[in-house]
Amino acid sequence: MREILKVENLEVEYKNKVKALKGVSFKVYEREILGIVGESGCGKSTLALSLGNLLPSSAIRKGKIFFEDKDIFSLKEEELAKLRGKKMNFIFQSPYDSFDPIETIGSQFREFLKEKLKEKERIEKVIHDSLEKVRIENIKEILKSYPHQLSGGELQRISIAFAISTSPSLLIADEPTSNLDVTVESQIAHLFLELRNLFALTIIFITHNLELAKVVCDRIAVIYQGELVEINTREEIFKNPKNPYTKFLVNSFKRLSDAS
Amino acid sequence: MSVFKKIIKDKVSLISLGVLIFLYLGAIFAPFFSPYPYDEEDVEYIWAPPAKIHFFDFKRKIFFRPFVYAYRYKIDEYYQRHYYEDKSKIYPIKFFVRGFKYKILGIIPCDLHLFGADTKIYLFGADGKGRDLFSRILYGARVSLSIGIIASLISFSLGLIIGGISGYFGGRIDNIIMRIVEMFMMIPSFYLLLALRASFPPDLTSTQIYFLIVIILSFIGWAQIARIIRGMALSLRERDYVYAAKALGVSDFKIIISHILPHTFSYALVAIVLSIPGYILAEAGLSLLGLGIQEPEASWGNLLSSALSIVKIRIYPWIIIPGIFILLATISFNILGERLREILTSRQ
Amino acid sequence: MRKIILRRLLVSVPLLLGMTFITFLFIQIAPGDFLDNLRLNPQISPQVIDLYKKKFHLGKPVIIQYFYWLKSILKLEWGYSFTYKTSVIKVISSHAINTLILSLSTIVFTWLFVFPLGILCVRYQKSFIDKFITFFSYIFISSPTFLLAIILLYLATFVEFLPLGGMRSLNFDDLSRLGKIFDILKHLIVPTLVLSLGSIAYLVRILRANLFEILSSPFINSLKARGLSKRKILLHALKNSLNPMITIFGYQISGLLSGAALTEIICGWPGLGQVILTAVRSQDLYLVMASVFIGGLLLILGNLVADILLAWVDPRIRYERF
Repeated sequence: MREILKVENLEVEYKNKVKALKGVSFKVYEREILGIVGESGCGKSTLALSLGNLLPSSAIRKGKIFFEDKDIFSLKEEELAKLRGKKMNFIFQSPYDSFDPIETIGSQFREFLKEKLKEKERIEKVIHDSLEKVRIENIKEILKSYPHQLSGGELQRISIAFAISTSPSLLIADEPTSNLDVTVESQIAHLFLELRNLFALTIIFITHNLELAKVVCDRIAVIYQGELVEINTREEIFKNPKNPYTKFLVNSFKRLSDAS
Repeated sequence: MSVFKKIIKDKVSLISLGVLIFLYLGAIFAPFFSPYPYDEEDVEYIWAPPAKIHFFDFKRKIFFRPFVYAYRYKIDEYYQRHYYEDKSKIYPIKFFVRGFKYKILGIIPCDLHLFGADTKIYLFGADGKGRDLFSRILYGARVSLSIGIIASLISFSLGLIIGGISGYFGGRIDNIIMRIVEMFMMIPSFYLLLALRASFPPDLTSTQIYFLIVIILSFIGWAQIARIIRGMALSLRERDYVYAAKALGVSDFKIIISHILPHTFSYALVAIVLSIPGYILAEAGLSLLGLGIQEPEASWGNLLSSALSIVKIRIYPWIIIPGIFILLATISFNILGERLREILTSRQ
Repeated sequence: MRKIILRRLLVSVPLLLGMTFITFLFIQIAPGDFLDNLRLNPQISPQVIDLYKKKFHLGKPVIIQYFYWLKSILKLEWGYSFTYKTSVIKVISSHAINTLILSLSTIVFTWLFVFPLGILCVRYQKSFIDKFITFFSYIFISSPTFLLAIILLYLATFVEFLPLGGMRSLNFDDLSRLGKIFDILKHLIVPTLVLSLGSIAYLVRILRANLFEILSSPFINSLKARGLSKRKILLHALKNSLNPMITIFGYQISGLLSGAALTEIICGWPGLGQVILTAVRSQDLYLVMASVFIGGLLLILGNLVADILLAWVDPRIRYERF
């Protein structure tokens, strides 16, 4: 299978001398949903940001990231900007922080697609289709609304709509459901599965919730304190966890689900 | 690290503090630093330019000793004076000389002055009555700098009390007081300043005018402060220790004084420092227009009033110097205030 | 949106009343009355003074005096100014227009420079340009307007082109229509510069601080992750910074309208500042009160505009249910 992403010995140190990532390496294959699981502060978000070279300029990074054979860290900012949003798209944890609060959804969508889409005539159609795919009704109203007028779940779905509208090669979702209600959470998780199947997307799904990862992901990578301690298929992780931390995670999960 | 130390560390605020200390010392010890009384007129020196201090005279073999020449003038066909130096006689500048008498703190008689010479030495030139601008600036500092602080303190105290009461009690009292505060804030301050000044009888002594200006200034400035203090009081009164005090039966007044107001202290300090320039400028503006401190008393504002004539500035550019002092004072206060604010907010 | 405007307008009325009453009160509390100076003037006969006494209802309690004054203001009988030898309304209205002209030109000039300078500071962060601009803004913020006015007028004496005060040249009436406009513009240069420099300095500092703050907020990174160009992101940041800037802009307007007085006086610009100074100098009571009234009115109007602008710019406020 084709390699979409290859991470080699990624190390990230922040300005305050905290080492967020200590030598992480893994690959992501076409059409898979790779889960990245770990507790808060383990470096998951740093990993996500590194993939798009979105770290603050004060952060020191070592190692290499190859996206579709391009060395991310050696690209210039303009090339990176072209890449982002078109081939490598992001969905972040807080939907309200993903949009400009004083512009309507519609105007932000159009502005985005004007830059990313070659055929400008198709913009309106793409907007409609994307929003439909994420199960947004009353599209006209939504387009005229401002972010603060919508619910978290709606807004997150709109984020996803933005992300799939340009048919990217890689979708990186950093804790996409953590800020949402549990019922909404499950809807959105299944949405990811649907979208992957429909559009043959490759997805990196970052979460602290192992249960969610079990539902959504094909493979799971476990991060503990900045290190990748285990990476395996979903079944293997749960049946045969090799690393002590993985075992601990899986067992806690089992105990929870057994208790219910 | 205490606040004071932090200020000293930063070069810029250190300079500002230094400038202010320098200015205030000059004001306090004005008689000592001034070679002449502020109201001593001299017909021979009307609009004389600043004294040129020389250090070398090769003919007389003088090196590195400061001295001046006397100024004489010629009158041209338009009856304009042209001053020139009379090089026939040297007047060395002496230090710690005996000069006009004054009283330190109004009690101790003294006649020591920092410098002087046997001829008139007007460091910043003379005004239309031949008075030494340098001395007048020093005496003027007394007025301009003190009015700023006093008015600031008074209006701040007013604002503090009213704002504190309003914020603490909330409800109807708060509403009423805040409406009144808003009304005060809607008054165009400069206009009110002029109007109030106008409504007072024209014949007041300078001291009376001084107090008048202080009072008027305070009346205008308190509103803004009251509003902000009220906001702080509103949030502070929800704190646990206030509830605790109330539960213990401590009187409202005591609570305000001992629990709420101390927390406004850091903001208070910054606000006072930052508002002083405004008051200095207001007094200067009034005096500039002839509505403030009257002659022969000096304030930096009324010293500038002759600068209102552009013709005069062209011929006697040194009359702008008081303005530079005003600028120095306001910039220094602003820088200090800003730096204080940075320090105090980052601590919290 | 309309609701907001109405609401603010309604609130303004009692504000105006309160403000004028307080002013009136203060002036009355002051020892001595306006007629003292008139009494000293040998040209004015005791009969005239008596007439004035009756007209001003002096001797009656303050509140009654205030009501009479209010009534006459509302009836647009603002009295007669014996310094200008014409009705107070004429004096005030003609001068108020001039003040408005000056304020307008100051606002335009200010904002012409604020955004470009602010953007420069952000683009070339921490470089020489940034430090240079910050340094100068400190100086101009602290500079008293009257000092700036004096200095600029002094500098203007070296530039033949710039007039040294006033609003019209001596040959104004002989100029063509275009010439007249040009002439007024020429006279606007110095006072506008004086008023703008301080404003620009102040606003650029605020804009710079705002921009830095906004550029570090999370949604900017999201926009970056979406691959928007640097230029577009800066635009977004600017639009978001508009909110606090507009509030300040509004208060700047009201401050300008009433605060340009000293500058007007020094530059000889015939605006409200000159009027009140003349009125005060000659103890022209009607004129003084009317000037304060108009000054306060303009201030309140300025604040009203500020509030409306704020609501218009920030959709979060605009769509709030009242």
